[in-house]
Amino acid sequence: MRRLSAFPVLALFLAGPVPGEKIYVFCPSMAKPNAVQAVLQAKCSGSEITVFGRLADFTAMVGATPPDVILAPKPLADQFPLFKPFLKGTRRGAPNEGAVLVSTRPIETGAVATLNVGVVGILDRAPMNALVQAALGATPRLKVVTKVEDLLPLLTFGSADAILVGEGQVEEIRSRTQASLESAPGPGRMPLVVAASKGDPGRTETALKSLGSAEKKMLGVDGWTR
Amino acid sequence: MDQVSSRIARSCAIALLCLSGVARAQTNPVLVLRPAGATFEEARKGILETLGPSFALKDLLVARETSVDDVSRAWRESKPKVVVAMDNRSVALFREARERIGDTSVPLVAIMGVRIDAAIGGIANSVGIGYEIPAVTTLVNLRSILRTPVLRAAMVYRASWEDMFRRNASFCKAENIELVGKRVPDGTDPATGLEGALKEISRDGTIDALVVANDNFFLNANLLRKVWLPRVSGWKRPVIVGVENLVRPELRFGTFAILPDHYALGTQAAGLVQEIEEAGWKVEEHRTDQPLSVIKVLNLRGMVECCKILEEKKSEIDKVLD
Repeated sequence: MRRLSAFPVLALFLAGPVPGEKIYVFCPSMAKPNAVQAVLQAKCSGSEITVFGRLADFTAMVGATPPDVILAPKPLADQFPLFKPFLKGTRRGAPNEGAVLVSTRPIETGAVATLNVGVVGILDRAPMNALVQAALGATPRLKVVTKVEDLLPLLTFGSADAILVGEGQVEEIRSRTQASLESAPGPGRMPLVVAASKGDPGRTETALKSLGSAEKKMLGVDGWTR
Repeated sequence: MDQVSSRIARSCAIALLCLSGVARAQTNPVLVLRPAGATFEEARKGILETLGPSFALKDLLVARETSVDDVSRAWRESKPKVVVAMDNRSVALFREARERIGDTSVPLVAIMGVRIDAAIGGIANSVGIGYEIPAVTTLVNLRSILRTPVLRAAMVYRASWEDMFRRNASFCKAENIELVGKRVPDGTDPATGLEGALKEISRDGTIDALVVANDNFFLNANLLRKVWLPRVSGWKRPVIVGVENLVRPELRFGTFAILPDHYALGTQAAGLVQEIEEAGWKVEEHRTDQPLSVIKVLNLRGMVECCKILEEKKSEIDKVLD
């Protein structure tokens, strides 16, 4: 009996180390993709992590060489039905966060549809419009940028009347500027990141749950829920 | 997968995606006039990936020998809804071709040229994005990584760039930063003018940083060797440049480089194309937007010699050189 049970262990040993999961991440934040990648790689040793800075690169690669796990804002992850969410990022216990309009001048209630609103693109144009509509209850003209840090210049140069962010990003944006900023909560919510996998998420779930607060902040969350 | 094969696979995947997009839909042709080169290709990629398959980009590579006839021919053949012109020569060719064709109904989006605002001046139905990174962008980025305040920053400029300086100073004021201009008359010998201006700046103990404008009048190999390096090397304040080569630690010149993000510039141009589409294929307001997105390169060795850096902010820098 003892000899029989040793076989699987021996087989595993001969086969070499168990290959880790291939993980693709798209989660725009102030931190650069290479910095996020280094942090996640350190926590998920054995896994192969690629953090994308561009939506098009992420979308193309998930299609061309599918990973085992994706980490992306929920509406983006939902576009890949083969991947089933196993962890949802949370902020203050909720799987999404309040939408906030930040501007240099007060925004009149009811005027949102007439504004130019800056937002980080996490989806293609049409679904992005739908996401903003859900967050603001109106469809303003969008100024889509590729990075979170590009939102503030939209206000500095008057290219947008307001920028749309999740409440977790407001302080970070305020900390970068000495201009006086107004913020007004929108009626809707902004999505947070989810982790989704094609099959068994393996060690990724444990690794993500072990992230420290600074690392989770890079992903825009402060906790996880199933 | 190693990094190289990963990059190749990623490029192939995107190329396939783009090709399939072009094949699927030819509904909105966009004529792109651009020189060859990696930066222009990167901007084109940003345009293509943002516009998606309902637009088809038709390229005309603009070289020294490209004529107005070539542009007119490409224009007639592609029947564009909008033309994107990259760099000043492409804009000039567009201007001439439009006169020849006699049709101002096709809008122009101009990017990646020197003083695009001036280049598209007088061109009806046109809009542009500046290529020069505004000083406020560089200074806000600098301030965000330093422990010490950035209250006053100096910039040397020639008198004919007065409008550019004033615009920059006004943006900086909104961020509580005073941009101190050292104006050099256009007729002055640039070496003498620059030498005098830098002497004043280095003596002024209230200046927190120097912004080096990308102007060939002052920024060239000759003046770098004769004036910039002897005057600025070893100055205990950050020197912000707009050229990556000038931030190499061994050069002992630039401490922080802020460069255009060409992919994002393409994305921003695509946004203008979408605005034009929404307005019924016309430019609603002739204007030149400021570039929004930048790449940040830090000369860590140089910066540490003059300033204290917020360690946790290093994750916001694209490239750190040591």
